[in-house]
Amino acid sequence: MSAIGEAVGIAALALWFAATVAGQLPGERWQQFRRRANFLGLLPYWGFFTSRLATKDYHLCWRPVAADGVAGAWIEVGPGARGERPAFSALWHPGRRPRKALVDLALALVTFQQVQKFDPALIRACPPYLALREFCGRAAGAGGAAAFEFAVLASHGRDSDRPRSVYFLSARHAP
Amino acid sequence: MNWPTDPARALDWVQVVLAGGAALTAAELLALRREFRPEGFLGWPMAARLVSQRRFPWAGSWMGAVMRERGVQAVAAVRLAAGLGLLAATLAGGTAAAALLAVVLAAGLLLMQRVPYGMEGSDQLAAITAIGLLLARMFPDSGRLAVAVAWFLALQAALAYVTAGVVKLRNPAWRDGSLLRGVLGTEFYGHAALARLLQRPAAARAAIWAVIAFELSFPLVFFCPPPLVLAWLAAGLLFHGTLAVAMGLNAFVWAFAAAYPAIYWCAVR
Repeated sequence: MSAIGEAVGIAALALWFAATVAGQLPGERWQQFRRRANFLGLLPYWGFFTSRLATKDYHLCWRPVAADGVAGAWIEVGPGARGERPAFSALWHPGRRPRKALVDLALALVTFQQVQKFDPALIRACPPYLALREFCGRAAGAGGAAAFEFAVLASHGRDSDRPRSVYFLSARHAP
Repeated sequence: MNWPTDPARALDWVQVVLAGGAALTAAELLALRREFRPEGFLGWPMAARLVSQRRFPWAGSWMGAVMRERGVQAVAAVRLAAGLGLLAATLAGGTAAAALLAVVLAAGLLLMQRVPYGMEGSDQLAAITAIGLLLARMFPDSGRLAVAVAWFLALQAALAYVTAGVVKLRNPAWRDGSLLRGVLGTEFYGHAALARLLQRPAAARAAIWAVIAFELSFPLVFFCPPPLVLAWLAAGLLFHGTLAVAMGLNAFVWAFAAAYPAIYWCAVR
């Protein structure tokens, strides 16, 4: 019995490693394979920081919209508002989770937007949109807004003079 | 604990570092209590939009019942306790390691599903390492399985380095150093002093080519004499330590260092 278990274990490790190698290959076919086979997140992709999107800081904002359609000023909420990392983050850095979540959601939203060819109905139904809408809707509701919009803004580095650019702008919603 | 001169001892060392990393990351999640409140950025009302529409729709309702604010904190607390217990049990040569390892793994997988956005490659590598170790612990008398697990963990780490190197090599913005300067210029992943140091394009190019060379050449570690293997792994620790300081990627130090005893044994066997 243990000989069979040993053989099955070794075969499973070999297959798992082969699948991980396949998931690193370039091309949509292999990336699609990785996404489909990525059971419980155990088929990683090791190409970190693959594009210029990593050279921005992301900020989540909402603004109230009055009944006559006039929008108020943007109000930043969420983890993007926290500025620089703490000095001891090399050892202890819990704050990276929500910051990373915002980056992941922003990138997923824009990728989804491109894949769906900017179809507003499909974008409004995608999970990252719904998640950010939920979060901003709670803030807008607490702020007493009758309607709100949310946006992901991108800043371009701490030494850049460039103003924040609108990376994604939502539709108008009730909180 | 003895020097990793055989695969079983190498896996004991892997387990020690894995346990330390699991305890740290679980403690960090406990420190994020406010974020897991309903109004927080990792709160259930928001996470439910992400979890319930993923591949397993049933997971959403199940998680909604048990993985809200207190549930997540309870799972993180269990993982912290199991990680510390695993660390102590391995250092003391105790027999409870397999059960504690299973708890560390199960809690880690549960948290990865609960926080689908915000998890990192280090979480994935830690889970992969824990599964490999658990397999070896299930068959403690199997020398061949211990060898296979050691190679599996060593090759997973080597694959991660090579892939990261290839991705940088294929991208002109990495090769000319501009992407490195851009990343280090951000508030979240950046570092003000290092960004200033790399303002000169030649300095940024030199830094990124050193990283690319390290990552692409990593598999050569398996063909080096023992003193060079240690030097190579020390360079790897320096690399991850630098990333932790420069980019705040502290969990990667633990996740990759956990594979190093396996790499050492595979390289010097």
